[in-house]
Amino acid sequence: MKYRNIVLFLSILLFSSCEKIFIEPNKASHDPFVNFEYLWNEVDKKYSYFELKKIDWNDLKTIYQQKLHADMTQEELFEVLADMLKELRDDHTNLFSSFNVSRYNLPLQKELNFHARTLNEFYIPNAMITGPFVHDFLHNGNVGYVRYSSFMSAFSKTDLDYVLNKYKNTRGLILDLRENGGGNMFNIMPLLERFVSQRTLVAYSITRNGIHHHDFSEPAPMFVNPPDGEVFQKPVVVLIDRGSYSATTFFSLCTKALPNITLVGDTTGGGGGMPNGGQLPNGWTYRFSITQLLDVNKNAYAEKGVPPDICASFDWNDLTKDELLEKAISEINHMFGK
Amino acid sequence: MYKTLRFLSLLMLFCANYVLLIAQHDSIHISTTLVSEEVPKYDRSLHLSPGFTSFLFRDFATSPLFYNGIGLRAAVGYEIKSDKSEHFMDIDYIIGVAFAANPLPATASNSTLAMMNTSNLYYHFLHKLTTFYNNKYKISLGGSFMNSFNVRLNPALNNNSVGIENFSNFMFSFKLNRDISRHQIIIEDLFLFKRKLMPAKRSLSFQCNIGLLNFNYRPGYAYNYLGEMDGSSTNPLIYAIENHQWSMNGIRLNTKLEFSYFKPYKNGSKWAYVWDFANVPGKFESYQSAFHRIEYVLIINRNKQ
Repeated sequence: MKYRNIVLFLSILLFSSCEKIFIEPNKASHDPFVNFEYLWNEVDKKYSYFELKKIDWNDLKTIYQQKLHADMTQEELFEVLADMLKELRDDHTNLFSSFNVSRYNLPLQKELNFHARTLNEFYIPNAMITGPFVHDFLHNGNVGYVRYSSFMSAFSKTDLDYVLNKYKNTRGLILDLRENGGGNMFNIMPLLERFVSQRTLVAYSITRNGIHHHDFSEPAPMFVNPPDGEVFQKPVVVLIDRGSYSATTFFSLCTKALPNITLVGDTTGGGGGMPNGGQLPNGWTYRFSITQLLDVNKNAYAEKGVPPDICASFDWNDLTKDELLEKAISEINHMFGK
Repeated sequence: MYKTLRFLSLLMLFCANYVLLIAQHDSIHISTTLVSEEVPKYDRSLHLSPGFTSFLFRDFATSPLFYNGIGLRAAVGYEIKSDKSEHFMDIDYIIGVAFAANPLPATASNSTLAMMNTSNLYYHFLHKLTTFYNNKYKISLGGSFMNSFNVRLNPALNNNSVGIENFSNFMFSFKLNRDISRHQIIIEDLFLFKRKLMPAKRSLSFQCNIGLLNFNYRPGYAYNYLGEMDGSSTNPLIYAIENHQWSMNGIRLNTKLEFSYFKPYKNGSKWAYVWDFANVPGKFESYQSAFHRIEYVLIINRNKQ
């Protein structure tokens, strides 16, 4: 009787933990062909800019599949997959392994319009630093200058209140976002809302929602609401260049809907698509864009970059002068004169 | 006017008396009924349970790899039980860490560590169906409801580092209970010393819950927890679940093997092994998980003395 109970107990225990019956087998694999196929399929199913960039993804599969062989090293496989992803011409597309990170490096293919030494030595040598903001008065105290070098850097309401309050009696504010490569999306709206006095539609977003490259969700509107802190309603000039990427492109596109903000400099680097994240069967991780950012008229130019309202470029023959900054000062004076 | 008010007052007094009389009559009748019929005896108990769990999960929305992990569980429950039925409700929280079952050596692959936070709300109602073998065995049938909410964090997955899902399952339940109570004092001779085992109410039970209606709330087609931000007033939770969709499919199974021990008229305790399995296809990418738990449950008697 005692043994019968033990047998009953053990058989129930065995029966009650049989998940392997109900699920597909383990998909982990370091086979180059399996990993290539997996990555190609994921991108095919979800990447958002095939049509806009006129990319033939099937053709690229044929080209890069030929470079695979069964006994290739991990480094060789990484190179093939990375080269295939670079065809998307998108810095929101990366492959991550423990030994390397693939990237497209778009800013390196365009001219630079920012020289930190010129700025620090000739314009703001005694700048204040409040949270992530480096700021000072320019033009005999008539213009406020704020540099925000990365949307990765979080700021508090107090930081922003302090900075905006300091320059509230100037003719206008320059917000320098050159070489700001983006960062946390949650930092965009708290900054942008400081320049609106009423709820404003600033952009739309669409997301891939089907297997066809043109399958997208309905445009989801994005609104900016006025904050409960300091609002800056005088003219604002935002400095941008090709290094202004991702969240900075997002911010720049939204400013197109705000009449008191003017973009000065060069077209932003792009990166309007929100990237996802995933993992290959061999454990490497990746990301690529799955959304498109649209302006208030539902035009999709953000991925190629948001153009400035006033173009300006840095003269590398004279490192004592920042032409973009000078242009911004003159624009604020011009608007003040009006 | 005065006469009218006096008449109305007397009428109200009469009505009130009549109502009180009827109520008294009913209460006499009810109390007579209670005395004359057999009153079902309900045992009420509070269950406090620390536990240890091992688990695995795989979320095809982000990875084809299994993640294996271990975690801790804390639960609180309440049971109302009679000879004929059983109601039990509990809520738990599990926190754990898991690593990807990676085929490559660490030198060639990313270290992917995921954190699992799960909360389950569980309720079952079981009705005793029959007994056999001299009332030693008891079979109960009924239904159960389980709602599970997962928040998984995996920084290596970039903008998909937060994985959120919710499963609501209406399940068919059956329970087999074997009474293994000790009715008399037993003295065990263990060679070096003797042990005196006092009478105790003990039972071994096996319960199985099978999902009949399985609702799940899973990410949309292209999964990105920041995918549909809609401006400065958006609540962070809305960012996280905006792109999610409900669907009704999948399998949910859980089984529980319990050994319960009660001292006469006192508190009890039990040890349980629980297996909780979910295979959720969702609308686009499936999610699979299995939890194996060892639980110790302290049963606090809540019967009025």
